[in-house]
Amino acid sequence: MNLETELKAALRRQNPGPGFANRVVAATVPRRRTPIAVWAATMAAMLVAGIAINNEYQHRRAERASEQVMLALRITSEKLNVVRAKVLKLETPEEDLEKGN
Amino acid sequence: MMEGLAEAHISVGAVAGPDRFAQLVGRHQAMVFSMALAHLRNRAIAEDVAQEVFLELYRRLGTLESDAHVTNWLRRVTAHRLIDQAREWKRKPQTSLELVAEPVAGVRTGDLLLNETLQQLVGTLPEHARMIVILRFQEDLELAEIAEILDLPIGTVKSRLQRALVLLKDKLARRGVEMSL
Repeated sequence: MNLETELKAALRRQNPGPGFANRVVAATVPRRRTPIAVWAATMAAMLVAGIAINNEYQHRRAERASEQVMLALRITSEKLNVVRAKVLKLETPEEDLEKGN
Repeated sequence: MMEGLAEAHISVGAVAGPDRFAQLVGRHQAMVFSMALAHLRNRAIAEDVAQEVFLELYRRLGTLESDAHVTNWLRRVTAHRLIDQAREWKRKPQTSLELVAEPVAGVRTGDLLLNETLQQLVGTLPEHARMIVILRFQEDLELAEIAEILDLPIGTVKSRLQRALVLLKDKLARRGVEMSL
């Protein structure tokens, strides 16, 4: 027996498993990826929404603060009116006494 | 070379894009896979290596003009990739069922068992010698072509082939199979 002849027989080409070529060709098809533009647009929309929500929150806080200030002023004003009425009431009898004399 | 004249005259550029690539895979898959299988002795890993080689081909398709160019490129890339892979395995030894040598109880010559024994023995050769034997006897290449593919001087290819054949002959003799060179 000749070694070279036997080696040629032993090392004959073989085919890979069925579907190999299809798998290789399929591996060249790029997977669908979300384009960078879509990511950028999503991030921008989220940023704008975040700013709008924050603005609304700040606006409502300011409104509430303003209402509280107005309420405080009203209460203060009412208290002052009460004090003023009492002061006037205290002053009036003395004058009347002086006028009566 | 094993590619027939009918195959060789088909221009690679004649078929465009994915169709061209699919045709090339169909035409060369047995060559690339068999080189990998003979070198690695593991069908699954051989298919993985073959797939990597073809994907590399896909990326380089625009630079390869003729079918002969593609064939040569595939042999070259496959050979170097396999030698690198074998060196990697040497550094980090791995064991798979297919890589474990099966005990041979008396080789019956002229049958499938002899083929299997020869494939196993080829798998025990050093990386370069193994590839030289594969390119010589599987791909039917001349020594000058092998030297070009492996970037080795032709004298080195010749001496390594001779040493590999003597080694294989001795190993077969130890198993009771006498062969001439």
